[in-house]
Amino acid sequence: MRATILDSVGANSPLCPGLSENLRAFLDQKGIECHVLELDHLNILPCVGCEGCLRKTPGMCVMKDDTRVLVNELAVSHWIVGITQMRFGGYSAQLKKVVDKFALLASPFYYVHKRKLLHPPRYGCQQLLMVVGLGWHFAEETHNFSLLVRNNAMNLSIDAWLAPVFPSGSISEKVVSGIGQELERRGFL
Amino acid sequence: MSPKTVCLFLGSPRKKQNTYQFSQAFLQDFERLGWSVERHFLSENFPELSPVFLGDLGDSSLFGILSPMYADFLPYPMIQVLETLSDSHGGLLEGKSLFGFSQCAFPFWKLNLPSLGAMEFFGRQNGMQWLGGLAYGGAGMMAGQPLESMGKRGKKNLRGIKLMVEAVVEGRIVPHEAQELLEVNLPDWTRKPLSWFLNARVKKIQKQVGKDLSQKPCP
Repeated sequence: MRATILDSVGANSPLCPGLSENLRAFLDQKGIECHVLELDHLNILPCVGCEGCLRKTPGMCVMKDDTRVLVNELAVSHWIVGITQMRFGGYSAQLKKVVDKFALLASPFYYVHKRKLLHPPRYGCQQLLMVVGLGWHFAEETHNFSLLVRNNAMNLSIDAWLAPVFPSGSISEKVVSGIGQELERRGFL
Repeated sequence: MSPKTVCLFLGSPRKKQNTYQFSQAFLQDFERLGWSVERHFLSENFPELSPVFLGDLGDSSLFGILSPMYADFLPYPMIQVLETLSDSHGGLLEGKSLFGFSQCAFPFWKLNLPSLGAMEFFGRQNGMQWLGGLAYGGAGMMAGQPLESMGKRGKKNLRGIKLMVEAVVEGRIVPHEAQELLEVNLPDWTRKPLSWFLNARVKKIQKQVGKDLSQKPCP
């Protein structure tokens, strides 16, 4: 079992210092090979909707950036885990720049899966999408956030999703413990 | 500030495509009611907001966010600009009104709800009055063409946009009827034939480019 953590907040963020490292250590301990991608350290250029990934280089972005590093990781990961500051009930720009490239994980063809019209997965090993949301202005944002993670999972044909949210300034050990309990409760650990 | 100036934020990085075509419909309705319209592609406003954009923010009394959906949500450039506005220029927006419009290629308008939610939270966080939003599904069939060229459905959609504009210029909440005029609710049984139809189009592209479009370029 393999997981990739897409850390868009950074190791020293006051939102929850050390979260990705503690989560990695926890998952490693549970036998899940875990890789952390600090998005600050990747040069990902924004998707401009050019359709190059459809027509020129199917399944790969035509931009000269680190998208290949990202997709190489995600393509072989059973779990995709995002960590983001919650902005307006959704992902931060930093995480969204990467999520915009998730289209590369799907084939451009269509199929009906669980009564939904979707693009079939290109790689097909993904089993869980979890995005950890940190901080919010209004409590209702957390519902919007859950809806977004659910839609992302659905459109990646990933049946299981989690959208745990924690207030800004949370202690990472407590956050990891909360996530661990939820993963156990749902039968993932 | 001009009381009859509306500033439209266009979230698509692609110009002259669907979001632009929708903005044309908004523009015509606002102008018909005597309003001035300023349009800005947000992809041209990062990492720095342009001085013209900032000037128009100050001059406008009403704002509209028009966005396509990328990976089920607002595209990255739009979130980046909304973050910059919230973090550094919130004062330019306070007390003004905001409406939203989100469209997606898939014919399921409800997929737009997280994007509209984000627009609302952006407005509320910046002390704006949220007047409501419209969700449109099935923009994939438009292929950058104006709504006027889309027959009966296009005309119905234009009526929905008109209802929205008439409400927001009066500071009213967008009526439900406007959303109903934009909705297409496909019965479940249509999904399979729709997938065949769409796959035929993808196969056509596959033939044109001469490559396996479902190949796996990564290990």
